[in-house]
Amino acid sequence: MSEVTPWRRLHPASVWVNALPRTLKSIAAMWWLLIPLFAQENTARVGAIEVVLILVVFGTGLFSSFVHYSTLRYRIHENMLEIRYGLLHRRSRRLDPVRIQNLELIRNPLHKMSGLVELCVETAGEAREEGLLSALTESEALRLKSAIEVARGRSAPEAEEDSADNVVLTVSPMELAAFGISTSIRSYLVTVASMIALGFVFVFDAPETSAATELVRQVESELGGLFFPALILLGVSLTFVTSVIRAVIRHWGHRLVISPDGLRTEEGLFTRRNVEIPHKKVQVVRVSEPFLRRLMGYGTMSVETAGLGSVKEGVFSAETAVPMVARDEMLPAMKSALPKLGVDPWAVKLHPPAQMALRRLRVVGLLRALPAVVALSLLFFPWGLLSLLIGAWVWVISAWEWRCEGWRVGDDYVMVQRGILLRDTRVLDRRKVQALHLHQGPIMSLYGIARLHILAADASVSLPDLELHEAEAIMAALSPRSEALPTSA
Amino acid sequence: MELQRLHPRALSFWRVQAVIAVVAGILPMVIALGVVLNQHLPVAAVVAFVGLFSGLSLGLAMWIPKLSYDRFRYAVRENDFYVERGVLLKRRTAIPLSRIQHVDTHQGPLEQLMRLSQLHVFTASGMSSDGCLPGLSREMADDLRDRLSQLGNDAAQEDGV
Repeated sequence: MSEVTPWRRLHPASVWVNALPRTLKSIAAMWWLLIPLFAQENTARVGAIEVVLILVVFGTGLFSSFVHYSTLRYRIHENMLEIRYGLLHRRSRRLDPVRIQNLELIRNPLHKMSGLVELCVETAGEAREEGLLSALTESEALRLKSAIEVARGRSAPEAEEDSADNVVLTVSPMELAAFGISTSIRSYLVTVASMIALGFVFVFDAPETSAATELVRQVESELGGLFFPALILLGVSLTFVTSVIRAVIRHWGHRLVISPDGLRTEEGLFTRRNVEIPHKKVQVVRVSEPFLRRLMGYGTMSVETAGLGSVKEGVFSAETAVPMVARDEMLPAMKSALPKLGVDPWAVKLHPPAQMALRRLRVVGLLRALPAVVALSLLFFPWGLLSLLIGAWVWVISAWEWRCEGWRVGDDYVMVQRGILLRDTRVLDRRKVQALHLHQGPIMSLYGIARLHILAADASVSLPDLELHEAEAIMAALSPRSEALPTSA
Repeated sequence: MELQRLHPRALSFWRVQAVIAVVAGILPMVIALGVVLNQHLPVAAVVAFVGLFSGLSLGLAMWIPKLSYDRFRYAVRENDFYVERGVLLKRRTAIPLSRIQHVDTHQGPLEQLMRLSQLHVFTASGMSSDGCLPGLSREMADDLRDRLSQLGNDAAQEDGV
């Protein structure tokens, strides 16, 4: 009979550390109840209903935080991490440490004030659940982390981890500013379009004369023809400033570190995040180079494991990401996640798609453009005939798109690169292949080509369109139990 | 390894499904369109239109399942579980045996009536099944489920997660 391991509990300060985030969640959930409260004209008169509402919203956060503290227990027993919590719905989780994809240490401002830390545990096929082991002392978090490492069958990490660590790259404040600027052309377009639309509404369409309308009309009369260019400039500046602020808050002091067992990233201005991913849990490494960022000589690297990554601020859907990687640092950064990667994806010659794939791209592009061309030609004849140029554009852009695609299968990896404006390079660890799907649409069948989708746990890579026999051969070869693994090297 | 076909009753099952879809989804629309057209066209033309369209839909409901059935093949091979299917969009799936997480069988009301069963093969790659065999006899589905589970267990050295 095994010895019974005592249960441990969170630090008592977890009640107030968790109260504010939970209250904010309550406010987000009950916003529809609060709108009438703040929208009423006489805000000086607060009735009993309003008081009850405020108490409910703020009391819910505090109460759930207290319940969380008083019910959550955890321990490592018989090499398993056990967590149980809940008052009405009692939950009990038993995690095999071997199945843990990555560990994340989070320190938000409340944690920093209390000297506490949150330990976030992510397993395969499960969305990250933050706020579970939400307030531990730093020593307790490190002890728990060490115990998980030991249960995984590794030696416990040394107290002075940094001595064995190798910092691969850091992201400077200037690089973060550049990241913010180049974050999304779509954001720029949306903000500028919104500014112009608002300008039109205020100047030409607003029926009532409010102070804001008067002010906008006054500015418009003073600027004259420069009013709308000024709005565009304002939209661009607003997007720029907000993107930079977001990037700085999220990624301040970013460091990518190689530890003996894997890689670690540290980042965050107010909330400090420390994500640790063992090498053998890495599924896909992706480097995306949006047009502006590529012009600056940078890309963004993301590392995906089998856990369901969460989208944070619309930037990443991966478990961890390095916001700005300079061109000459891309290979070392990628090798920090995939140490066995022996080639440089940006230097090695990749195999092109099948020649027939270009024909398919052109046919599909022309078929898609056809309704628009016909409609424009008929509606705006004879000037509408200029829309025939769309066909020429499709013809040229298809060839460019085709030339940008490349693939390579090595002993340990599958590599794919594509994209004109947004260049996307993905490298999949070959040992992580879960399933293979070969697709052939009607036009593909006509041209004798096929597309191979390679699925890993919570990640996938699609090869460019290849000749059917070639795609079939790769499909057969990528089976993990195949004796001979043919490579394209 | 020779590729195997689904149980012959799968063809009847798909045809019944397609006819139900036509009767419940397309015919009411055709009849509604006929009522509208009746205000502008003679009754005979409307009846001919409704009859022709309904006949065509029902004909397709009988023909397309036959094509799908003829193209559907599967095999349990040495290293993987293999499925190929599709008429216009052809799809082939290979699931390495070592990556099988679990195998389910499933029977809807109509399948219970026709003594058929669906087999779903799951890997760690997502929430849905990666390989699905829709028309097996109940015995065949149970047998295949047990066999794939066993082969998956025997083959699993590392699950790739």
